[in-house]
Amino acid sequence: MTTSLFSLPNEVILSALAAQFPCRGQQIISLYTLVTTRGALSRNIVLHGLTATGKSAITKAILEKISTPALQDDIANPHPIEPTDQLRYAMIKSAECITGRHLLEQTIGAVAKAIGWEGNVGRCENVATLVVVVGKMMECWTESGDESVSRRLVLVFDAIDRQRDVPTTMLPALARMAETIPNLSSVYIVTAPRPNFLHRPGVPHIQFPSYTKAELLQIVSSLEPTPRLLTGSEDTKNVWTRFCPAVYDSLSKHSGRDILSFRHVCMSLWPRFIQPILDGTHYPTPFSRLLVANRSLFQNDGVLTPSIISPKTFNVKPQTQFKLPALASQLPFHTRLLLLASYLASFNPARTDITHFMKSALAKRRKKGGGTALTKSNAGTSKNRKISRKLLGPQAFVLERMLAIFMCLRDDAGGRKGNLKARRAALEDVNGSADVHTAIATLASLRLLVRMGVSNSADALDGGSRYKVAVGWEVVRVIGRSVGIEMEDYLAD
Amino acid sequence: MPASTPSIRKRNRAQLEEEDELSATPKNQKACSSASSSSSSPPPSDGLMGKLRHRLSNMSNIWKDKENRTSFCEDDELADQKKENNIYDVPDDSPDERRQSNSASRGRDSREALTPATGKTPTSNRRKSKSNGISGHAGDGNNDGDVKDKGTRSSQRRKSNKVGNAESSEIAKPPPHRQPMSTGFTKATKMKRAKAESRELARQNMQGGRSESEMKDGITTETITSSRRRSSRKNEESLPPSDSEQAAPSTVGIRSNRSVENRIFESEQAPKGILTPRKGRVGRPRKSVAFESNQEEVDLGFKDPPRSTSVKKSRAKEEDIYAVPEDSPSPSRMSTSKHPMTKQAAVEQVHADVDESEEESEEDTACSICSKLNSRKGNQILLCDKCNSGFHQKCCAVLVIPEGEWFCKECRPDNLNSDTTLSSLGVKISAIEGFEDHLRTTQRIVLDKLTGQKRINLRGHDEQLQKVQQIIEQTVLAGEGNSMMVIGGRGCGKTTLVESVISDISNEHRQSFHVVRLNGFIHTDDKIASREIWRQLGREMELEDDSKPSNHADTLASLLALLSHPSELAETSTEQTAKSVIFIIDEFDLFTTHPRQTLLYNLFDIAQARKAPISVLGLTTRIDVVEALEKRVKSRFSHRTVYLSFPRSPLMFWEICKESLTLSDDGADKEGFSLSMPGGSDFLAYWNTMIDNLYADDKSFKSQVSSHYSRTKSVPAFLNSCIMPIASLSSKNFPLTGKSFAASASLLAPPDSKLHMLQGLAEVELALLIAAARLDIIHDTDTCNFAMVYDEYSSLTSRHKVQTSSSGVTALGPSAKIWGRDVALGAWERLADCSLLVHANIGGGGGQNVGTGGRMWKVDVGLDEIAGSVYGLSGVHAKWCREI
Repeated sequence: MTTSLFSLPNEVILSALAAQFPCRGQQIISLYTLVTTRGALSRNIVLHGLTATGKSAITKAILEKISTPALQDDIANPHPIEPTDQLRYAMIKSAECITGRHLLEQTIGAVAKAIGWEGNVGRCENVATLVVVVGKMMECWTESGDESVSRRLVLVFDAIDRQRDVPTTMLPALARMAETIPNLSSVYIVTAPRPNFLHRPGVPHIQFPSYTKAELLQIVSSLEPTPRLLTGSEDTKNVWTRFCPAVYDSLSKHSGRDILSFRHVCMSLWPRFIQPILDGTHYPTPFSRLLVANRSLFQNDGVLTPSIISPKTFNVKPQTQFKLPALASQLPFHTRLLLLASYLASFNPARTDITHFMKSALAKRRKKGGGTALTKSNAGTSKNRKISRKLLGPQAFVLERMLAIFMCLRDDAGGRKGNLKARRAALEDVNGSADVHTAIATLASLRLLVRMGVSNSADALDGGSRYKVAVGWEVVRVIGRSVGIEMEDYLAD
Repeated sequence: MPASTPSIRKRNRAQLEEEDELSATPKNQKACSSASSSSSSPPPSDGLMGKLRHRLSNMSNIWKDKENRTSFCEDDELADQKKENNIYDVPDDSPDERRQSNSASRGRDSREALTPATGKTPTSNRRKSKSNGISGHAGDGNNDGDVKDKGTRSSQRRKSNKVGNAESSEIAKPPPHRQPMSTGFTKATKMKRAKAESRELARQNMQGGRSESEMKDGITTETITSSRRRSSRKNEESLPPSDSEQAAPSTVGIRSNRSVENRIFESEQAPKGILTPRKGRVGRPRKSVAFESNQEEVDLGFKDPPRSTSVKKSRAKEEDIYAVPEDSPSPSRMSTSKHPMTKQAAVEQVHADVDESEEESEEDTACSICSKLNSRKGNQILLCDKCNSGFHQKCCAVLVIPEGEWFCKECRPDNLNSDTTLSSLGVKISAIEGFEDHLRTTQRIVLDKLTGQKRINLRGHDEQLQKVQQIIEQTVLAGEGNSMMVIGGRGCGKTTLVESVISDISNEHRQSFHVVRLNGFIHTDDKIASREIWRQLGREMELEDDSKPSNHADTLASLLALLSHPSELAETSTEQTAKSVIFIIDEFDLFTTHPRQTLLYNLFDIAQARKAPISVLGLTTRIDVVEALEKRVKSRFSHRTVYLSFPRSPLMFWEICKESLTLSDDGADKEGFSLSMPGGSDFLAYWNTMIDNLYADDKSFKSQVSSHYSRTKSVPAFLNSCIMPIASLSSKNFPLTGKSFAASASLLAPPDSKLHMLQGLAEVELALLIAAARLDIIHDTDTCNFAMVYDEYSSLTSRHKVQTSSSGVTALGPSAKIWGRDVALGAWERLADCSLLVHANIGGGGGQNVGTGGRMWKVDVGLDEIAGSVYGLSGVHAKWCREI
């Protein structure tokens, strides 16, 4: 490999990149210096930063620019300086790889594609194989060209810290691979690097900080909103530049501060925001009046929650409200009761079952909070604030216990409103237990109940197997009312 | 004097010892005075100087012989330590001087000749000019060479005060000198005893002690000299060199002279309150500032700042001393208090010589801003270490007397560095031919070293290098089997060491051995590793592909066959086994985790038994790696270990770092820098001097080096921080400055903690994080789930809402809004994404099924950390962080 002289970064490329990615000048310069053969070429580079800070996009853009320098030079000046450097890159996205081996196979495929390898790629089971195969490919590639051309391959591992199912030695091994194979550099894009995660000191890290408010506004304001105002692009621009800060202050500052969310929120609110102008009820000029008219838009946080329903429909409140009873109405009566019993079994401690569900103490169980004596005895012991049991989440319960609670609930169901029909229906199938087990299996398959422990250890419907409820309080309360049970009465708190 | 001399002199200080002191010392003096905070004496170009030199030549020859003798034996002992040699010059010098003055005190004839040389020239001569007197000091040899003008001047003033008339000073001088001299012999033994206990005191009075030691020079006996030399050498082994050096000479002086002096001076001078104790150190005619000068030149690494601090402080104090008496007495007294000759010399040379004027100005320095002379405690006059003009503390808004060097506004380091670097080098950029090309080439080479493309030369591990080399050589040349462990922290040069040994040996014997490199991270089990060995060996031995074994057992068996001795397996072809094989096993500790350690067992077994000549080098960071070996494996291991340590001193650290920032003369060609090109060697010298100067003069650069040393001692980490400054260097912004290093220090550095991510969090995310961190404290448990956190968050927010509404704030911003559960859950998931929340694996394996919301989490940041690391945290959140 011939050593090429050092040269400062190409200003033309840098300024083009800086225009493409505003507010990232320092990162662009650093990364550019570290990946070019004429700069300070590093073998391992770590880029880190929160999501949507431009890590992957900038890396890709820079490598794209460097790997096709000939075009640039032809345009810039008729005599390209020296066509010595040839840089290729391959990007491997961890999000697309489901296992560690998948990642390795992807890597080999990407390398082969990048350097135009025509032979058989073969299988790759572990990193050792990867190192060997990539080394072989690189060797062939380097030898294929003439000597004066210095060739370089940059591997970009995108979101490598999110890669699932990899051994802990994978990342250090990848770092060693770049050390052992000449002409190979690796770029690791991570969110939050663990200290020394490559087990190698002195690896350059480039931080991509989150955009500040000013930067966010600068970038998003420069975008073009899609439905324009009828009065012209000048007005559109004016309203848009004032609209963005309003959105930021009311919504994006609080949740989803990154540029993608911010842009998404702005874009999705924009059509509704200018609707009054399009309708002719308001004018763009007194912006404050426009704001007041659209006040509800900025108070609704629905736009912040990711949803596959388009924003126009989910503004309709009743539909979302109706979702919860939908579950109740779809389940049969006994299944609903079983779900309630599961909830109680999950959230009530077993020792309070006697007070709540014993037939003899009918009056007592109505009392909310169960036994008063128990709470009193606890009061002295815990000086610090007690964690409400509801907050601790569902606990696992044994199936038998849940069935016992179910029996108890079935007696009470519908009784309080004097719904005789429902009561009779409940009393009718005391004997049949096959239905109950079917219902439990159904609930488990609907993931309303979650089986705990090893899944195939024993019969799923064995009395001793453990479950956990997976529905929340709001759902349960609605279901309880649908079968005539006030769940508050049965909960120990 | 050419501006380039000081820096060159500085480096060659050790060699200069043997040169003519008379000519050399004034230059040195100048060198150190420009580097240190002291002003300096006139240059030797003075006409009167020549006269004096002529007179003193006999004398200097006499004791130069002696010095040669002494330094010769010193050099013998310390020949191999170049740096410390410089340090050792110090005790080397002082004994000489002492011996010389001893001989004088014995009544030899040279006594009369010596006294003038040490600043006590006959009146006639002395009166002519002050420069004469000072060069007389200089002529006393390099130990007395650097005339600390404050000491001299104060002594002179003291003298004239004491005598109180225009009588020649050397008539008045003898009493303080001769009197201790008579007691000096009797006190000699006592002084020795007192030395240890007074060392502490002496260190505090370092400056004073130094000037006292100079009085001591005239009186100490040979026995003290030798004993002190011994003790000071002892000290140097244990203590920081600079301290012990300065402490040792000073101790005796204090004990011996203080009482006498104080008695004398007290009788003649008005009592001065708190300042009185300091008087003991004033009034020396000769000053062995050679200590100062030597140490100033020796590159002592990070010990510099504290020492110059002491200088600085004492200078400030000294200003104090001068200023207080000068305040009260009339100007006429001020002028008389000055030595007449000083005055005269100043008049003569005030325009010709900057140094002289500096000296003059320091005598009664006025603040350059308010032009007042008074220097009180709390508002002392500070002297700029560059331009030497004085500034009141209050006038330049320096509340605390700064440690180390201080520069006035005009001479701030950034201005200064570019000046000194350029001027002291004496070479203009434009003067170097082909500067641009040389710069590019150098940048390429240096950057390749910084980024690890090129191996840097190993420094400071010679012993370990030798050991490893020996092992490998034995294997390669003698066919012995060996095993060895190289243990050291990450980035301390294990691989560099081994690879440099390999490359050294392969220069000559490449044909006679194979190298197999394994890495515990890559070769994660024995099967993979043995296949890799087979592959690498097969490649080196050029075996055919079809001989590739199909499974692990086959691989191992054929490997063993390949590596076993020909006598054991007659059918194996012998020329393959004749070659020795070197196994370099990186991350050796990971190989010990492989089941049954089969591979290690076999390798060690082969190495230990007389089979094929292989040597196994295990590189690891774990110091207890041998304990991790199974018994049968351990018994086959040779238990040879080599420990590589991180650099033990800042200086050593810098030496290693410098290795990759500079180009050595002999290695430059090898590294691709062509010296033969026009201007090549000029540029090389320029570049290396620039790097040297960066460390020597540039405070910000040095502090960066020291911060790396004190934090990690990791050389690669420091080199990493140097990439951007070097890469952004061009001929326009040419000389490297510490500022550019400081600016890009954190550019490529790994983040210190996760806290830097907090800045990018949205409000709800931050609020949830704070709520979760509060729960840690409130519930005294380290785990929480989303429901708990959301509950805490909403209760906090609603409490805040109630409080603000009750206090009459009607405009409740969105911060008082309780965001919906869905939004909060989204925020919670993002927190988990950026690993501010860590799984708490309790509640069985159900974690997979319940999702982010239902899981138990641990918060990875503390409540007290949050407030400090978010810039512009809203008041509400800050309050939540503060109050539980």
